[in-house]
Amino acid sequence: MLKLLLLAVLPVMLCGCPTWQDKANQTLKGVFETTKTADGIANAYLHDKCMKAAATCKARGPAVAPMTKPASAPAAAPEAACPELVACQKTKHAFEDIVLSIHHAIAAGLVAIQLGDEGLTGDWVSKVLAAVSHLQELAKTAGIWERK
Amino acid sequence: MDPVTIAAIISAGLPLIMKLVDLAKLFVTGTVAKLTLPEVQAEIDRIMKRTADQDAEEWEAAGGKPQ
Repeated sequence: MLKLLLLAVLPVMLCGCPTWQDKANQTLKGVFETTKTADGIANAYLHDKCMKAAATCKARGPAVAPMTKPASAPAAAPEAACPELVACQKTKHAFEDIVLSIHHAIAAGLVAIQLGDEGLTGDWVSKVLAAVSHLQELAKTAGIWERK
Repeated sequence: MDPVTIAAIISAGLPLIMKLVDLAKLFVTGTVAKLTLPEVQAEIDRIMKRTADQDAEEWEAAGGKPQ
């Protein structure tokens, strides 16, 4: 009798029967953790690159020196003072923008789960995955991909 | 044990089985940590602050950002 009961209950207990909400949350959690790790690696690399660009500009001297300009002088563009740093920050900001868009899409997906809307959740999960592909493309073109 | 007795015992034990299933579900979903909105929001805030701090640090290393 006990055997029979165990046979009936155990499969269900072991399966735990996760709902679509559980599955979607786990998918979003997986992407969230992976993106966090990738962001950490990419940011460390890009920040280091930008600091080196900044050091190059400072060593060059005159191009950065006129930053303490007289009030009458026209405002100098950052690009003119240190184009290397501006270019580096542009890449860093582009990468962070995509990371933020992934996190915003994940947040929207979590809200859709809370609302109990399976279709909307699926749409946001798709958007999250599309943004991840976009991030991978940028990581490849920016030379970050090899560092993962 | 004849099939009728087994069936009677199972049907009597069905509410107990359902309780066990509920407990199992609670156990499984409770032990698997779920991602929450505040966790995601905290990460978004952290990245935005980090960007601002790093930009300032990088321009400082370059000798200052033109005003």
